[in-house]
Amino acid sequence: MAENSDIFTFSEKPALQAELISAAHMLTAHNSGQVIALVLGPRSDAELALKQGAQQVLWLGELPPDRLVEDTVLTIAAAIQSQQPFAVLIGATARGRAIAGRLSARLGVAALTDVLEFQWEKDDLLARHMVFGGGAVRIDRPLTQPVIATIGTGVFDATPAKTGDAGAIKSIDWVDPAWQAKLIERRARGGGSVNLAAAKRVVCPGRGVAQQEDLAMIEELAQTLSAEVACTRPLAEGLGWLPRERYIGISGAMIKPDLYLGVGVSGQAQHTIGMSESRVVVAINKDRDAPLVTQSDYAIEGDLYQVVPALIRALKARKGK
Amino acid sequence: MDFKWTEEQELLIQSLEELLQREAPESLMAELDAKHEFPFKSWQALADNGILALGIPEEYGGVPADITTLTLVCETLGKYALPLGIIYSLGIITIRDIIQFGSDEIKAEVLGGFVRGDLPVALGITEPQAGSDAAAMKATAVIDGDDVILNGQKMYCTLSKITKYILFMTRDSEGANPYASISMWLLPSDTPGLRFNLLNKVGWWTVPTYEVFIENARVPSKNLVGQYNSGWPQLMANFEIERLALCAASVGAAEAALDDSLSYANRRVQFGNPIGSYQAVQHILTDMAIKNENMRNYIYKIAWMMDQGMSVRHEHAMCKLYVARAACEVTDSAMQIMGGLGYMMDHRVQRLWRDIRLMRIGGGTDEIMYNIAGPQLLKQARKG
Amino acid sequence: MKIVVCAKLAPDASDIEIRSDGTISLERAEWRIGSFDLQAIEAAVRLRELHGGSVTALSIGPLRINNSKLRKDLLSRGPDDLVLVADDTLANADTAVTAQVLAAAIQKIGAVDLVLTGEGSADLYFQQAGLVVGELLELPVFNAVSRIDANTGSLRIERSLEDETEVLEVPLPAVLAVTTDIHTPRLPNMKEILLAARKPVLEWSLTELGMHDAITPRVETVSLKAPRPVERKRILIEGSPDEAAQALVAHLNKEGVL
Repeated sequence: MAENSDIFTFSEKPALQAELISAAHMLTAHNSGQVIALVLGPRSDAELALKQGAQQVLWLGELPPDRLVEDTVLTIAAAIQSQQPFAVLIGATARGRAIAGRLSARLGVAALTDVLEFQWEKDDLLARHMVFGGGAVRIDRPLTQPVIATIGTGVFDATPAKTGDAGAIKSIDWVDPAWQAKLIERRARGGGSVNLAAAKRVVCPGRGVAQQEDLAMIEELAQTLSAEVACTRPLAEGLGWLPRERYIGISGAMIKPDLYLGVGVSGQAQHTIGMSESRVVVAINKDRDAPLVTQSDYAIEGDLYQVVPALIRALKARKGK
Repeated sequence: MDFKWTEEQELLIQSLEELLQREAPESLMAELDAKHEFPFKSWQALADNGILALGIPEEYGGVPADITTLTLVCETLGKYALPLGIIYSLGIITIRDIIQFGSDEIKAEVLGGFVRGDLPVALGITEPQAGSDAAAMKATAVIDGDDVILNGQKMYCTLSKITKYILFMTRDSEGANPYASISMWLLPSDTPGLRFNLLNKVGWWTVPTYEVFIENARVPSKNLVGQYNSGWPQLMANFEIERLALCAASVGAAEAALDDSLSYANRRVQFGNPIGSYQAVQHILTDMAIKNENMRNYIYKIAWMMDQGMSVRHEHAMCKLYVARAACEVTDSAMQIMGGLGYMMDHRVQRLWRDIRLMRIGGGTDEIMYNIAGPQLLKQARKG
Repeated sequence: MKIVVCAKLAPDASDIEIRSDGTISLERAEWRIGSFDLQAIEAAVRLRELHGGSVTALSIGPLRINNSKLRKDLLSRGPDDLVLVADDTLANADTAVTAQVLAAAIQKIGAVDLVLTGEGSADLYFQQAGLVVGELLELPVFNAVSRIDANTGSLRIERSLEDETEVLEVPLPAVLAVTTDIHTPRLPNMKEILLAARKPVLEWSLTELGMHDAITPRVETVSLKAPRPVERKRILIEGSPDEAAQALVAHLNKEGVL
């Protein structure tokens, strides 16, 4: 049983950490606990967490260059065992999932993944997430504590960072991992980082785009719209045309832009679940029965190779006015 | 009576369907058809995934498969990628003739190559003056030492230029009985003395058909397949499975045509309602479905009979006659259901309609099928 | 290398039916091998082809998974044999239960060098089971593995993370959850399908695994419903590409999203 109502957060990504802290505050509003951020990194990262709204920071220090983020599992487990928080919110990156899974095994508790919303039922915390490839919504009640939950980017909005907030930064003791893998190399992945969650307009090509060279036309459309380029999973993973962080879907980015424009996107549930809360959805597809078309606000049934250039022309003409 | 497939057949077809969706999607078939290009990559994918090994003896890299399984494969190919179904069916007669009558050397060369992805052996039988009347062929083979010199002109010889070998039929003009004077030779298509003239067809655009001129083409006389002057019964032995395979591919195509029609009838709105809600359309669709069901039952009954070792001498002809006609009717109805869209080159129904029309002519015309079945029926009745 | 690859047999989520009251049903869905698990099987089989050893497929679930066609389907993809733990108490088992049973089975198989799982199950996709199994077995465990090369006694792996690729040397035995990048699974051919029927299948009960009373779920499902569809305008813009594009721009302008 949890001793207290505190909520821990952990993410190796500061932007995601801010969202977790915000989510944690929503929870502590109900149960009056404290929001405590576990931070791995230099002291400035610990200070940032306080600015992002953490009321306390448990600081793991900086990761030595030959160690992995996952080497912190035992350290984090010890902190959880000692402080007995009500819940631990972990950012759903690959590393976050690894830590969540291993922590849940160590602590003998459940981990609820890719949580989209929390609900309180008396003092029980329920979590909502998607299953069946986006085909169903499931609400789960964890029967163990602490509640470990992973949360993806863009699900919760971060509250803007404040300055000058007091809050303790407490160093916690490092616990050596039970086993170690040897780090041989880290290779940066091309494409730079993109924050799809923050984009107001998104252009999303799908399998209707025949070849990689044609993405130039999509890029031009995006630029004309001042939009970010996202994509469906096959274009990122299968074809490798775009970096992984650009794909929208149940295992990728979940976004809520003002405008989503799907070009040659059929609209399978695994994808649409990542953009279904967009304010305005536009579909360009040669098949009027494609799922995305039936789930759109505006659709043009046509050959994207004709419609996209026409759209670029029409947008430029409007700008010219 | 058990109409179920074995689990192995279900798993095979599941795997083949996924393969075709990956390697021979409709968009690719449409593109190749429009460009009149052979589906080389898709054919190789069939080889790489063991489909071409089916029914080939194991010592050449093959995997045992009964006729029912081969029929299932042809139906599946016909449904998802008719060009592949056609190519595969065309090859069955020549491949089986090689298996049954070829020398060890010929078998190793041809069957091993086929399993690895070589195109099927072409059949050089028809000549300008010899179609249904195949025995009227005039191509000759003259022994010269260890070689044989081949001369003649073959018509409608599909694949001949682009494949490695042609199964070339010649006639010994001295022989009194034409059907006992025909010989079968393995003729490499790159033999000097061969000239190919591409023919322009209404359909089957991905599968090139040629007029072939053979002028003093010299091949080793060990390229004789089977026995001298036994070519006709050797070919006849495999007409049945050839026709069955073509039927199966046609049935697959008819199913694709019905699927397209049903989908369209549910979506196309005229006069305020989907056209599928009108009885006239429902009647056409139901007739199509009944024909598909009949065709399917017919081909698998024949396949079963052949697997049991039963004679299908006239039964298979009746099946071919029925399937060719019914498949043409189904694809024609599909075009009618789809109206203007059905007539557009953009949609696949026109391709199915064009490709299927040949089934009443190729592999034995409707009229020859009647000639096979009619007398047999009467003969059977006289016995009883 | 003795490899165990975990594969989940479950109803195909794309066959989901929505009832009129909004609840969902998978009763008529066809049961299949999870698509992500197929990649793990392919990775295992390729390692065996390169380095020798054996591949055992392991699957747990309700009695329904002990089905001749599913067994052949699994075995036709390359494993040498199959271990099944089929018990109706495992229907809808949560991650904790699943991982404990898998771990117990792996220990009973014994002397295992490498355990592979897919990225996540095809139906629930929680992406956790492999990680929990690894931790329960106290073995090095990594997810997001996009490449595996074997040396003697260790593996060189690449992890495909959001911003970078991590290249690690992992001691054996280990547990790895592979990504979809790792390999395109081969399609079963007839030869493999025919061989599948002859490969050994071991059926173990929970009692044999010493697990009969021990398993308590840690998650309770409170509701399972179809997602509420967002009401969309569904305006289909007609006309030539230029006409349609201009009409769309006008609409978007009015919506205030430009």
